[in-house]
This record gives sequence, C-alpha cells and structure tokens, in this order.
Amino acid sequence: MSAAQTEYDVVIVGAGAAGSIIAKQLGLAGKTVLLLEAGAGVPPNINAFMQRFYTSVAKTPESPYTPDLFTPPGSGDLTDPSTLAAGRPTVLTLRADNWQNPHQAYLIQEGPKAFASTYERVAGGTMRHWLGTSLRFLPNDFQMETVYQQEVNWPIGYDELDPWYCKAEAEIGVSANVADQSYLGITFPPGYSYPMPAIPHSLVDDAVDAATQGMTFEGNPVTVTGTPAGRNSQPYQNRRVCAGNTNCIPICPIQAKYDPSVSLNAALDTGKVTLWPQTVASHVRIADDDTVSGIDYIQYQQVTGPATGAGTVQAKVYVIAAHAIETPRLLLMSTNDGRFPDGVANRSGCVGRNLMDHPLYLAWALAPQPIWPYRGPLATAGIESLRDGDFRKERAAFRIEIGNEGWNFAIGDPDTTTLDFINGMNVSGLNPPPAGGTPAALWGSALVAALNDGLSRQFRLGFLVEQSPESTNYVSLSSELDPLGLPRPAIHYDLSDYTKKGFVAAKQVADQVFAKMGAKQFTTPPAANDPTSFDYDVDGVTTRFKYFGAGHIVGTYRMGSDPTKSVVDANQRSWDHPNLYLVGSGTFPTVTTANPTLTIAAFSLKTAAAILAQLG
Amino acid sequence: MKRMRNGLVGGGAAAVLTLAASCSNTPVTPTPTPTIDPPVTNCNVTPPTTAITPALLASGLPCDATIVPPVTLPNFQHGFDYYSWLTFLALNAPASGGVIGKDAPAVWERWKELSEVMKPDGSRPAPWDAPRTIPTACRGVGVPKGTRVLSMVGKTPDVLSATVQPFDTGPLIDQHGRYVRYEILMNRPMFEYIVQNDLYSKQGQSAFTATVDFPEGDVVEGTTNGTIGAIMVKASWMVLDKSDDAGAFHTTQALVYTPPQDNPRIEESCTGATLGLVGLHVAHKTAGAPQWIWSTFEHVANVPQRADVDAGKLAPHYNFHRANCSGCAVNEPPPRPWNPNVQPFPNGFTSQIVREVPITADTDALTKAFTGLLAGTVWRNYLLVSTQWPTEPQSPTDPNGVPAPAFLANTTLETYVQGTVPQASSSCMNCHGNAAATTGRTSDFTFILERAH
Amino acid sequence: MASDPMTPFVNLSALLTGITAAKLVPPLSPSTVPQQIFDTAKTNGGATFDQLLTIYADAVAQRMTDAQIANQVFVANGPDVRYLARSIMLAWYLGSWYDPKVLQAYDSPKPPPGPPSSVVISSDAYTQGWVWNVAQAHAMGYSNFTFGYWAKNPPALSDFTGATS
Repeated sequence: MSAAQTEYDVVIVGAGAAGSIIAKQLGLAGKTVLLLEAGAGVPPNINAFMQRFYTSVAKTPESPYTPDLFTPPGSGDLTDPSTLAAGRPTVLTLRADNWQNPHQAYLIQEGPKAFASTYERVAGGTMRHWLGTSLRFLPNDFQMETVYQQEVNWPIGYDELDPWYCKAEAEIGVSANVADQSYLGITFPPGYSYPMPAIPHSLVDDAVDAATQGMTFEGNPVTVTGTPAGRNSQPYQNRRVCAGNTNCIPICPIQAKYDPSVSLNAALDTGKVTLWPQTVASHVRIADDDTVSGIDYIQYQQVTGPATGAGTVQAKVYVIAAHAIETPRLLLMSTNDGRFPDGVANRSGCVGRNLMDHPLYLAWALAPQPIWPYRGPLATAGIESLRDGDFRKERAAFRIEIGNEGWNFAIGDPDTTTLDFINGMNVSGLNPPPAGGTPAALWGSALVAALNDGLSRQFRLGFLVEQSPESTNYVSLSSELDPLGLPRPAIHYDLSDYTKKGFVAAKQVADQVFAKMGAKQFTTPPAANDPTSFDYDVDGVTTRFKYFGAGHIVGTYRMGSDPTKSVVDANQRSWDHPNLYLVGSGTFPTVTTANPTLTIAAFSLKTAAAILAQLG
Repeated sequence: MKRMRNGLVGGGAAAVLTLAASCSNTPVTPTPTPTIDPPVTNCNVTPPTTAITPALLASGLPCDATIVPPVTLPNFQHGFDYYSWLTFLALNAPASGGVIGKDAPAVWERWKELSEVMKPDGSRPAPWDAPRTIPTACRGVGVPKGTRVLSMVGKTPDVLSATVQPFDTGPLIDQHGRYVRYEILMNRPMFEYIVQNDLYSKQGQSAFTATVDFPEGDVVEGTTNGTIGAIMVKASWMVLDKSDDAGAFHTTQALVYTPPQDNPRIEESCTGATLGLVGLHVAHKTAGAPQWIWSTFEHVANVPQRADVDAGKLAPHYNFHRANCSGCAVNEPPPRPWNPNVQPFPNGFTSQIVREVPITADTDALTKAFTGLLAGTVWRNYLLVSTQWPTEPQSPTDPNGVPAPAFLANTTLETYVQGTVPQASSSCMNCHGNAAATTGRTSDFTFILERAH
Repeated sequence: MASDPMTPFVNLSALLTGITAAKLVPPLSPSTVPQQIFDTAKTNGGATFDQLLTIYADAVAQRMTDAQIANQVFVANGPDVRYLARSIMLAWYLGSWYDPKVLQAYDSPKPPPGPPSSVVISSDAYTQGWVWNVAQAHAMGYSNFTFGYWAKNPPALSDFTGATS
C-alpha cells in the first residue's frame, strides 16, 4: 500500500471522530480520501476489546484498546511506552511515583501539575471510550470575552452552529428531548426533534432530583436535567437499544453507544475512502506557495516497531484530525528543513498553546436509602443550570454529572469495599473500626448485609470545571524519541486561579446537595504528593483538592477571527496554509462546561462542507 | 406451566377494525379473526430416550421440548438437542405433505417472509395464504425451467435479498466469490400475533402499550394436545455453481433480489438462481422456554473446526474455507464496500471461515444417529451445531434464563462474532434479549419488530 | 460423589460468602466459574487448600455451627488458612485472585498504598462475580436486563443470593 502513487482529493490524518465523520461526508460526495491511522485498524468484531477489558485488573478508559497497557497482557506491569511505535497515555501513570517516568508514562509531563486526561491511537479514536454525553454548548460559551470579560470569544455564534448541531445529532444518533434541553439560551429549529426519545432517568437521578427541588446556589437554580446521549433509546443505525450495561466508558459491549467506527465504516462503504492503519504521519510538507504539498508517513508492523515503510502522500486538501496533543505534535515536528522552525500553521505562535481539559471535581456520598447504583448507563442526568451566570466574571462554571456507577470512579468499587469487609480493612470508609479496635472482617450473611447496605446507597457527583485557556499550558516536543524516531509530546500544565475558584464553588454545591439529600459524604482529600491535586484557600482554610481528567483534551490550535491570535478560522482552515484543515477539539478557543464530542462532530460536518466547496 | 397469554389478543382484533376503518374509505367487512395459536392434537412428545429409528421421521413437530430426568446439564442438553432434531425432521418435510426425504420446498419455506410482514409503507400484511409479493425488478426475470419448486407448488418463488449479517458485521463470500443470501420467516402463530396486535407498523407498535409476548408452544401434560408457539426461522443459502454438487444440498430455485441502497451505493437487481441451504436457525417460544429454544443447523461441508485446522485434518473441500490459503485472514469480513452486484468479489476474495467453538461429542453423535435415518436424501448432509435453552427459565435476576450453552454461533449466520467472550461473542439469547421494537421497548427476543416502518 | 472435593468446597464457600450453594452452583448451570475458582484456589493454595477442606470436613463431621466453622477457618488454624479462605471468598465475589500473602500484608492498621495486586481469573469469573448480585445489580460491562430497567427497583436481594434475611 505504501507504493501507491495515487493523488487523493483529501488526505486525513487520524481515523477518530472528526476524521471519520469528514471522510464519510467527502466519500458520499464522491471525493477520494486517504485516512492515515497511527494505531490499529477496525477489528472484525469487539471480542478482543471486550476480553481485554474483562480481564484487566484496572478497568481504565484505555483498558480495552491497543497497544496493550500491560506487558505481558493481563499482568500488572505497564508496557514501557518508549518501546511503542504509537504509544498512548493512561490514567495508571498519574501517580506520584510514575507520572514523570518516561518508561511508564507516554506523555513527557513537565509539570508543574500533571495533565490528567488520556486519548487513544486506534481506528475510532478516543471517542471509542466516550460516555455518550451529547450536550450543546450555550450561546454565552461562544462569547465569554464579550459577556463576562473572561477567556476569549469564538469566531462563530450559537445560531450559526445550530444547523450543524442538528446534523451531528443525526450522525451520532442522540436520544433526548427538545423541551428538556431548552435552557440557558439553547434553542432549536422550529419543529426539531432529536433522532430518538430521551433515555429514562436512573433511580440515582431521581433521588438527587427530589432533594434539589427548589434549591438554589448563589441565586441560580440547581436543577436536574436528563443528559442528551449518543446511546440508542430505539434501534438506530443498525445498532441495538441501550441495555444499561453500565460501561459506556470504556466500551459499550453491544454498541448501543455510538462510536466513530460507525461513521468510519460508512466512509469505507462509499468505496471512495481508503484506510491505512499503523501509519504514523511524521511531517507536513509545505510548498513555496504556502500550500501543503504532501504528508510524510512511517509505517510499522509490530506495535513495538521498527519502521517497516515510509513515504509521502499527496492530495489537494489535507486534514489533521489527530486530537489536541498529537496534532500539535505533528505540526511542531514539521519544520520543513528549517523553513518553518516553529512548525507548520504556526505563524501565530499558538500551536500547542492553551491546552485545556475539564478538570473534574469528584464528590461521593452514601444516600440515606438504597438508590440502586451500578445499573443503567454510566450517567443519565446531570445538573446543567450552573453552566452559565454572572459568576463567570469571577470564577469557572461547571456542569454536574450524576454517576450511576456508585463509587466505581471514586474509589474503584465495588472491589475496594469488598476487600474492606472480607479482609478487615477500611479504605472505603464503610468499615470503620470500633473504638480502639480494627475493622471487621465479615463472612456469611453479615458480609452480604454489609455489602448490600453500602453498595446500594453509593453515588457520586462529577463536576466538569471550565478550565481557562492559558498560553502557559502547552504541548511541545520532548527530547525523548519513540521507536520511529519521532519526539514524544511534552506537556506543560497547571490550573489558573479562575479555574481553582470553580473547584471551591463545586465543593460548596456538592456539600449542599448532599446535605439536602441527607446523604453522608465520603469524599476524601488527595495525598500531599498527588500530582493531580492543588491547595487552595477556602475561607481562610487551606484545602487540598484532587482533580481528575475528563478526557476532554482541548485548545491547542484554536480557532479565531484574528490570524495573529489563532491557528484556524471558523471552518477550521489554517490561516497560513489554504489547503490545510485542523479539526477536532484542538480548535476550541475555550473548553466551556459541556462535553466536547457533539461540538467536534458539528464542526467536522461544517468543515466537510467547506472542503467540498473548496474542491469544487 | 401454562402462562397467561397476552391480555390484548381479543381487544386487539377490535382495535384493528377501528384503525382500519378510520384510515380507509372503503368499508371494512369484518372477517373472522383467526385464532393466534389454535389447539393442536399432534404434538410430538417423543422422549429423548427413545431409540432413533425411522419411526421418528413421521413423529411430527414438538410443541415444547420433552425432557426426562436426571436433572443434569448433559442430560438436559441431550434432551434439547433431541428436540432440535425432531423439529428439523418436521419442518424440513415437504410443504406439500409427507415425511422428510425428497428435496422439495420444506414446511418452513412456505411460511411468511419478513419483508411480507414489515412492509415499506407500514401497511397491513396480506393474509397468511396470500401469494408472495414479487419486487418489480424481479418481474420478467427468467427463473430456470423445470424446477420442482415452481411446478409442484405452483406459487411464486422464494425471494432472497439480505446479504449482510446482523449489526453490519459483514457478508459471507463463498468459494466462487458470491454472496451468501439470507432470509427470515415466521410461522403462522407468530404472524397472526403481529398482525392482530398491529405490530407490523411503527404506528401500531407505538399504540401497543402491553408487553410484547408471543404465543408459547405448550403441551397438556400426559397428552399430545397443545399449541404451537411462535417460531422464527433464519436460513442462509449459497448460490450453486455448475461445479458444486447440487445433489449434496437442499436446493431452491429462487429469485435473488438485491434491493437498492444509498451507502454503499447499490443498484436494484434481480436474477434467478439455484441455491443450496447452508445454514438454518429455528427458534421456538415455548412454555418451558419463554426465552425460546434456539436450534441451529449447518451444511456438513461448511467449514472446518479450529482444532481440525490446527491438527491439519482438513477435508478436501469446504463451502467457506480453502485449504492451503496462506495469508487468508480467518473469520474476517471482506473489505468494504460490500456490493452484491459486483460478483465475484473483487480481488479474488473468498471468506476463510473456521468454527471457533467445537461441536460437542454428544451433539455430534446425535447428528450421526439422526442423519442415519436420512441416508439417500440431501438432508443427510446437515448437522446440528447445538441447541441453546434456558437453564433457569423463571430466573428473577436473569431475563435470559441463564442459557446453555453460553455461546452459540452458526458459521454462516454469525460468522464474524464467534467466540466465548461475554456479550461480544454470539449467544442467541443474550443478543436477542436486547431486541426491541421501534419504540425501544423490549420485543420478546425477536429483532423482527424493529424492521417495521 | 462423596469423594468429589467440589461439593464440600462449594458448601464451605456458601458458608463463607453468604450465598447459598444452590445459587453458587445451580443444578443445571452451564458456568465453569466454580470449577475455575476451585482450580485456582487449589493451585495457589497447595497444602493449605487441602488443610482448609480437611478442617471443613472435620467441622461438619463434628456438627459444628456455622459460627464454629468460621472460627476454625479464620481463627483457630492460623494465618495461612485464614487468608486462603479470604482469597477464595474474594474470588467468588470479584472474579479475581488475591494471593493470601498479599491479603495478609494489607490486613494491618497501616496497609500499603494502593490496592492489593490481583489477577482476573477469567472474563466470566468477572462477569459472574457475586458482589454485583449482592448489590442487586450486574457486572459493569455485562447486563442481561433490558432498556430502561434502571428506572425501576431491582429484584429482591434474596432473588440474587438465594438466602432469606
């Protein structure tokens, strides 16, 4: 395949959500497309993914996918990422003793804080392990600078994106209803309805909802709303309805949740799209007229390399869809023999800058009555009413995700609590020792009763805090090389004061919601040396906060209306190179408070239309 | 064991009339509504301990599995496998009458095909005895003359359309590079239940507020009286070439219809062909198995078992496997796009299929015993893969009834999802337990209802 | 059948786990998980595994109460037996094997940081782990329930465990 000299209409780097959706649109329009995927291609079934997931001790978001996190597979020994042709990060390397070890952690974390989110390098991309949350952004999200004198404006407003949101909802297959979702300025075209009806709320949702009736925080209502989900509530796209396997992350075992392999397969169905797996784009070539003239690639057969092939592919238009860390890495690597020392598409100097996530505040508690967690999709409702308000002048906003998976995210339950009760420990807090004694070790009916009582009342709230864009949070090239000889991505990361203030508010809301519910809180502060934690003064008391990654990697090649301050325009086209498009959440100027996927899909569809217009 | 049938059956008929009257200008003449599952007096209740002799050929269709002690997994599996073979004998008897033997259209081939029930405009299906609708594209297509099918039955021929296996997992390509064809059919109790409850359209399904509950096969204890439950059949057919030994297959002269499709772009087409049966699922809902009993049969020459491949013990010929095919990806679908109008499949692709989960020795022995009765007929060339049945049909915590065996796949029908990985690998009940109507509500273990328009 | 060590192993497991033997190994069960757990425990437990079954057999022969048997398992015969019994309980509950020595190291007022090491016995040992039933739920990644079940209360605990409380 590397010998092919064909010139394609479009070459796309990355077969994830953005790349697959664009490839499908171009293929349907009769354009020839070549997709370069750094990782493995589309497997014939998900047997291997599921087997890897079930037999992983740590069922992390990355656990089903390749390359295997562990060597040998199933062991607890992390694969040395420096041996992998297309490595990837994992949440297992966020510990104090390994987050900066290049033989444990794929990302070269330069600090001062650890970047906590991970991504996949496999056909289907990171969205293979998405939750399915398909929220629209709010009108004010696009004009933060104008309305709140914070962050930056987007070069596009909600109304312009609305029709693309509708198309994205059809592509993904979103279950929701318009009345529920019409809040904080969100509107829909007249007569619009989502592709499928809303997913029913869980009993956990109902418990939070009942307790928060009439509740306000800083004058804003605290309201539980069903979450629009890229999960089938009816048969859709030849896929089954959701059966509540409680496993959206990392993988839906029955593919009731959309993942980009659906769009990718549809792209391949057009007969116009070719996928080259295990093909790492290594350099973007720029011609004298500033157009992209080709993309160099390296191929490998074994996950540990070495390179087994290399070449250059050519097209009329190029799209980089390699997510917000690998895309800037590729652009920065593309120095073109020194003609572009700062990399391609980087006259603004913004490439790699303004790396964002939703640093996530997690709070967990025990409800006074059973609310039956570990059932249903991982999340079916949330609190969206605090996503916008005047407070955004002062501090970061957030949305609140209500978890249906007990304390699984929080403490690794049900394993942790089970160990506690069987082995006489109290890591969960549910097996406190009597005064002067040691925690009980139970057996028989007492064990069943204690576990049932604890597990059936667990729940958690996850606060997706809007991280402000900071040029000092950035991706650069490390001196560490991968087996293909390419520099690994280095990450420089911290949280701003604005963002940290959002955590303080998040904690206050969590405390108040739990109090309203009569729930006993078990949230524990992180250890002092936890690389994903920070101290903040709360009413004169130094409080230690833990932040988790939300997997929402955003902002490293931002869109804007000013070529000197942004990398791409509102069609995600490079200001510098007229036949180069950079897509995915890296173009987001701000992370907002909503999960990014639906907006990635909407912009991908918009970009596909722009490319078709450019190709004529 | 007799459970309450769906309470809406009587009321449903009245609702049909009301709906029809409101949607039509022509006056509706009330016609007697057929009973959904009328009583029968000839349930086959042969115990599985009965010697396998030619007497079984005429023993008839079981209304439910007859199982005898001891209560052990192997003994029950034997009982259900025995039931599967009795069912095979009954359903593969000629539709025109008599016992199984000659290569003639079988009982199940005259049942209602899915597209006749779930019509594109959501209209009410034609009555049970109405002739098959022929797609416009097939009119005028020459069907080979002298076919027993046509001459004997004097009805319209079978129409085979589907080529891609469920959930878009892929088509199966034979050694000539041709697509295997699939069809789904249902028996009359299943058909009448759908029609009389208006479940043939999205609109009707929305209006149906009860839980979908197809009729169950049942036997009045100690008698041969009972009812036949809903039965679904799914068949896979291979287009036979001159080089194929047509005498080794149950054959049909059929119209091979390819409906138009946008993506992949497929033009409508229709040809006549002789096809050989290579796979057959039979699922029967019964009182003892509200999760249905899932029997699956294959042509004996389909594929080798994994162990045979590993041991190098290969037969000279398989329908879907080629010896010495170095570099052939095993159990992988062909590259996209999949267009059945482009045959043979481009670049010489043929499916290289292996059975991942071996057939048990007991099931194999039962197949040998039953096919011994069928010597000299095409039916001797079919084997039972296994029977999936619920070990705890009334389990309050597993709606799938804890099926045994845990996994079951037909290499022509679930080709690409074979294996033993929970949820991911083929299990009839675990997959069909997820089946829903177009409303999203559970549809009693059939994906047929989601095909309504 | 009397010499089949699987039967006393299941009976002892039922006593320790609180799940009835009829639920652990239903008469027609197609599951191989009980055998996997037995094999894993025997392989890893070695002589202690035989000792544990002997202790149980003797206790049954002496018509000890459940509490007395538990005392024999957890107290009277030392840490090797105690932690092997806990490993077996965890295998039923979680489908993972925790080495008894690891459990012993964690059973302390100051356990080491992070969870104890373990290996998943098999995919079905995970999906059939009893903790999910005790939570009246299902393994994450393995549900046999149908769309929307999460909006309703689950079946009763006794339906899952076989035991009436």
